Amino acid sequence: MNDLWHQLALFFQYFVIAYFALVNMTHAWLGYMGLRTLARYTRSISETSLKDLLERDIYKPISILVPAYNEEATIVNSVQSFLGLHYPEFEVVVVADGPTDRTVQTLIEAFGLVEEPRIWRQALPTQAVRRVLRSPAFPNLLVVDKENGGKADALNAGINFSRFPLVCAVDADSLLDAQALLRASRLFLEDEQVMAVGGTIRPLNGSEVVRGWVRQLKLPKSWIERFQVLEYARAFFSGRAGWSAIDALLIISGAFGLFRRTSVLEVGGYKTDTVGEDMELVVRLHRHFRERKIPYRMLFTPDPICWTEVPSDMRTLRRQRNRWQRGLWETLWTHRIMLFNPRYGKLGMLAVPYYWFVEWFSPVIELLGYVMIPFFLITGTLSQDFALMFLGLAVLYGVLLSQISIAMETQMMQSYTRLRERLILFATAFLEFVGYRQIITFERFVATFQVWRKRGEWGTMTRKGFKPATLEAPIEQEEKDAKQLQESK
Amino acid sequence: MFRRYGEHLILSLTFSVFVLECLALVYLTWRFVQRFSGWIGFEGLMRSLIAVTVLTAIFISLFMLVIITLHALIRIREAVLQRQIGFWIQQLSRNLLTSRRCPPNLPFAGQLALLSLRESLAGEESELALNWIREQGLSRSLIRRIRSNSSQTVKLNALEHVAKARLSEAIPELLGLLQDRSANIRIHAAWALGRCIADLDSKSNWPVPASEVSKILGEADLPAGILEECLVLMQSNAEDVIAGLLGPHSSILVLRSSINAAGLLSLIDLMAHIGKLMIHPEPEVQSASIRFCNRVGVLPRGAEKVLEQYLKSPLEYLRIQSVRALAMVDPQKASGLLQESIADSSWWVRRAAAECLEQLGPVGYKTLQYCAHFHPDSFARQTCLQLLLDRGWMKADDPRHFWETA
Repeated sequence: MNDLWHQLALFFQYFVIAYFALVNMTHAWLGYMGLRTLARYTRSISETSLKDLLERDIYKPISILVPAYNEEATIVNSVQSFLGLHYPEFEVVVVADGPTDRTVQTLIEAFGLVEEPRIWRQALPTQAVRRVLRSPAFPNLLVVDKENGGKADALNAGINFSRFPLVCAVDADSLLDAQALLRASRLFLEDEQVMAVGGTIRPLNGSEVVRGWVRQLKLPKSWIERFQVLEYARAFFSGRAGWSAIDALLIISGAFGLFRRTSVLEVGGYKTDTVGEDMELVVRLHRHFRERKIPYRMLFTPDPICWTEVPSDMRTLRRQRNRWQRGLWETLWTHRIMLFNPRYGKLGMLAVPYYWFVEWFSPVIELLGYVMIPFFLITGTLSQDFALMFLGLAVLYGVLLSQISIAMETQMMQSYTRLRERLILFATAFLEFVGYRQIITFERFVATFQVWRKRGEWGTMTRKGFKPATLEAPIEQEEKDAKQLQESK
Repeated sequence: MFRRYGEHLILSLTFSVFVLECLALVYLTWRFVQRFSGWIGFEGLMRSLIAVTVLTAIFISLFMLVIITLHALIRIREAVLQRQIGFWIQQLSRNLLTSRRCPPNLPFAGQLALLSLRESLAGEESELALNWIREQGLSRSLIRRIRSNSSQTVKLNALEHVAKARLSEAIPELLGLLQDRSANIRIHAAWALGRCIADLDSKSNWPVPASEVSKILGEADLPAGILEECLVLMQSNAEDVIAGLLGPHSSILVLRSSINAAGLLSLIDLMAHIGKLMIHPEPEVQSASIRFCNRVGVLPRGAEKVLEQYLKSPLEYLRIQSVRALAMVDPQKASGLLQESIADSSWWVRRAAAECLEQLGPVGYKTLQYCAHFHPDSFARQTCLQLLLDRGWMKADDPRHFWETA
């Protein structure tokens, strides 16, 4: 019996080690591919051509879709940021998804919205629309007030109301970089096969936001937010950039993604019975084009940046991660036919298996490891020195990957360039392994078993808003400066 | 983030760290396999594990140290360069307006400032800036760089500068680069070519005949959007180049892009060429030609019958363009045709039909009013109602009544 137990313990240990090596090598490979994407991208972009795009009639107009539930804290700043984008022709369609707070009222007050009788094309089925509001001051702003139906339903309603060939789905708690649309839409212009483009999402907690613009990027004060800065850098610069390089990008973040409207309509819009509607749409688009043998491309582009407010308390963060994990499972399960299916090329043979065995399965392995290692140590089936050294190596690999991603981000995007911030991020990469990672892993592990019980459930997200103190202070300062200047004259 | 200084060094360093880490992992896996097979003892495995862990720790420390130092140096260098450029912009602007003489032997920052001034200024000052660029030998140096076999980054930067300077003497080299193996170079060359051609002042002054430019552009493997952009960048000088691209041997992609560019530039003189393409066998070309007519506001003779035929096409985009073009047909006749199109299965065609009726004047307005209330198709009624409401020609005093009507 003891011998069998020993064999089992050994088998588990070797499995974990093999899994560790495979996962880390995959991440290193993805990091390398991401690096190539970034290098290629930095070479291809031309500031002069972007200026030309802005000045001449060569562009594709864009409808920005902003689904908003209870977003009264951030919605005005976000809409201001969207309305101030550098782009020749676009509209902002805010879809208030039956909010229970003052989201719609705040918008009415801020933009002087008036009700407009309107007939629209119900290309995608959605919950009932209560009213349509328009701003006389901002003709390209449209607010759709509808019954609650979830984010996907709100996005579908937004698509119904959109007029332009490109639709850009953004989160209501996000801000877009001034040139984000210019840079992302250029890819559609350059290549007609491009069906969707995803940009980089970056946490804006702690930064100074003035009138909907990120005035100064700063590291957040709390560690929870700092850990997420690292996670986002890893996910975008090593993960998505890498998958995009081999044309196997499976996720375009719901916080910022550009799609050809016709493609989204062709596949029936966003799926409303999942919490991972962003990934599900992208996977469905992949299947649609692959199964019909239509040449297409879906790209990640590092430069169009979307700033988002990440959860600042553990409770909200856990809910978010729980939802992400469930969304991942729902999408993978819905499209399970793609797993190791050569019909889907690199997607079926590489990307989908990666999401199954690394993204979805890793919390299970990791948590089992945390439980089993002490057990093995107690029963003497594992050497203490070996366990410590292996743990140290795992931590160091994680730190290295984080540092490489941060280095890429700093070089390409010129962010967090101060030495103090870099040192904090370095420390964050280590501290992440002390508690934070385990909590997130546990939440993802729990979510793995809640997929059926919590199907379609979002959970409440608490928003702090974009630093109101720093929002007002610089404006007051500007006004004071202007006054002083006038007086001195 | 455009091709930053020090980028290659950082990319190479990051790449080496990735490779070394992967090698370390492969080695470790191999040692585990050996241990599993009983070829090595626990001590051997442990030694390997310690070695890889220490190696990783060293990598991290070194990587951090080098990257942070590099970033700091790059930041300082860029800040200094920006300051110098700012200084030179001030200095050169003053000279442009007063002494009209360029200081000799401009440093790198001065050259960048001069290029920036050339790009942002117009008229006499811009021409003077161009003369200075030539006097300083900057134009020769840029052409040499785009002609050389140097790295892609050097070439791309040079192409960007040529585009800013709008150097007519670089046109032959740019045309040569349209055949380059790298798509990036071809695209940048096309952008620069468009800007350089736009700056040519007279037809006799072209360093390469327009027909030759058309031929090379037509053969260059450029994405449709880039070709269109290149032609639009040529502005008023694009006419002869586009005319050359509208020949019978051009591909569908080239034809479509050229017609679109002609429409965006409102080159009405090309109507003789493009009008004929309305009956081209390819629907995309047909649609582009009609869109051109819509943009310039003129229909070729005999186009009505063609449009009438296209209104029944199964292709939505062709029907939309045809419906829009009916605004240029006799209002009575157009209104009859539009009454049918307003009940089209596509929302976009219906909307285009309603907007077209609006443009037909009193006849269209009457038809709109009539259709809004009495058209047998409910979708047609809805579309007309929406347009009347949008334009404020109808008041929705009782929204409930309105919705029921709709």
